[in-house]
Amino acid sequence: MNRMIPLPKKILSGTSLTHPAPNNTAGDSVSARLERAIERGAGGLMTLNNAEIQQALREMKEKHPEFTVLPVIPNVPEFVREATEYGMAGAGIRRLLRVGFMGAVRLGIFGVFKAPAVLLQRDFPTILSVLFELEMNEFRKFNPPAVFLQNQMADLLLALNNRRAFAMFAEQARDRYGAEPGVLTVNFVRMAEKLKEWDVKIRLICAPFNRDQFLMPDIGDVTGDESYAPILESGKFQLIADRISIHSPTPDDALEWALNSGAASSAIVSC
Amino acid sequence: MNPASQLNICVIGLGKMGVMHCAMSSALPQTQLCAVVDRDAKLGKQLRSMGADAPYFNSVEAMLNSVKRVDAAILATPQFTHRALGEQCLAAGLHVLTEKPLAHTLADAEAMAAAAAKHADRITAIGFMKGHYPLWIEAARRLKDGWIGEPESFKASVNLSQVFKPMKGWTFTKDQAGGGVLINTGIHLVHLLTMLFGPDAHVISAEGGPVHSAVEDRITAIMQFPNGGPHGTYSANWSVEGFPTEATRVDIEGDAGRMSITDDWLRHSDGTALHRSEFDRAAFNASPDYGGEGWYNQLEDFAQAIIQDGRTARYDWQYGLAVQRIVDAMYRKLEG
Repeated sequence: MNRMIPLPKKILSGTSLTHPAPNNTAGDSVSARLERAIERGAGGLMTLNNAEIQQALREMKEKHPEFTVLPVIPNVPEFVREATEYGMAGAGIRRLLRVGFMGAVRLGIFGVFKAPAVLLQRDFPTILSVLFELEMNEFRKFNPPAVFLQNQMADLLLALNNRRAFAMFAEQARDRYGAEPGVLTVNFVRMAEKLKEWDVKIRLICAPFNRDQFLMPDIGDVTGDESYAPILESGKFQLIADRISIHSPTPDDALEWALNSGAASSAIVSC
Repeated sequence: MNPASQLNICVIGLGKMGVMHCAMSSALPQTQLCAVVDRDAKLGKQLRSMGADAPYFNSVEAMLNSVKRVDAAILATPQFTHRALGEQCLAAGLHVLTEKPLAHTLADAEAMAAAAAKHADRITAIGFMKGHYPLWIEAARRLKDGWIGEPESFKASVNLSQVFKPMKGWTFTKDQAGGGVLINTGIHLVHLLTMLFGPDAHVISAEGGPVHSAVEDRITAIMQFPNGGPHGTYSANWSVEGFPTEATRVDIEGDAGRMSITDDWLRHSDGTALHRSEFDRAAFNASPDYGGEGWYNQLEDFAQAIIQDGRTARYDWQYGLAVQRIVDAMYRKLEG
């Protein structure tokens, strides 16, 4: 299982497009910032579902057909806000209502996932699956080669030891979209060890990797970066370096360090 | 850690905060989740489907009658239930960590602090998780050590993009939540100010009110900390664009320099800039953008206080009452 999944070396963070660094005062549109990032070598974008970003991607699709879009699912910040009012199942049902009956039929949500009945039964992996379908509907036109489980969701499910949710996510990504499943996490070592223990076939892990050891905690006497090494040497996982610098926009030297480290195949940058 | 030596934790209230506490109780080596409680059985079912491996009960009584060993409870129910459940848990001999605020009214908060004093052999703690961020603790330490001399004035703000229309649910009602942005979100910032300047503050004035919901969506207050402490402005707003996650900032002017603190950076006017990466060391982080390190450190502090005799939690219910008094004073100024 040592094959390398081809992804762009330099991947732009969607969050940095919609919430640019405080020192970016130009007030440029998302489209303009995206275009500039591509000119500076970004070959892909890793993003939550966001209307502004979707619009910008549609506008540039013909001009940059090779540009890679990597969805991050689900949109947890939006889901959490709705869950404050309606609860988790209620937030899922509201998403479904926004798509409408015909939209849900077209997506196969009734047939495949039996929503909204399953939402009312509150089976969380199934709620996640329905959110996956609803959000992937916005991304499918970009033929994403990989799709990532959002980090708060992934780490919550990791803490709760939920093998089934990861397995369902991986299966859904592969079987329904032909996309490689990946996870975002800030707990790289624990995540990799659990995926291996569970025998869940998720090879792509996007996790903090930086010179400051930020979000790379020591494990006993082993420093954060040292703890990554044996996992990556096993060849079972492919690291996409996230949070490669504590500064934003990402300095060039941090990108060079991450990509030249031999540990990461790609790196996430902010603009 | 051997399961027999782990603390058995029950989580009461299975909304989103309860889910977070279940995850943390599962992740921390010193603790294990032994039971979950909520009146709504569907939430128990949902939590089980999320992976939580603990029996569900629909009441605290049922849980206490069935589970052989429970050491501590985490209260993650709406704040209007904190007093009754908190007192019940203490009376049953449990240590209790309650979510913030301590209660929805000052009277209930005072009763809870009295109950904690009565059960002084039990550890109480309150979920001021931002106060467990190592960077804020470092900022308070440096301020106390005279990093900028004597603090003279401050400007504190917390912003969040959450409320842009009339909202449903108890969170947005005065009678059940006790208020709006101040008691639900801005209380963390009030707590951080007490960490920096001390637990008493005089509220000189406050203005604000509803914009979209039935409770205050924004509030600004002028405060004075006693005994030569600084004066300054406090503002909280959850109806402002551009803040998908809570953004907190405190700027302090001292007689020998200035400092600014956010969740990520601690800066001095001499150019010193310290990033949280220098201090964050939690073994598990649920989410760096939603206070992940704070959740873990908070539970670890609570567990250590239980394990080590003679130690209190970093922020106990008496501390929670002190913060609630400031919040209550802000509301009285707002209403007056």
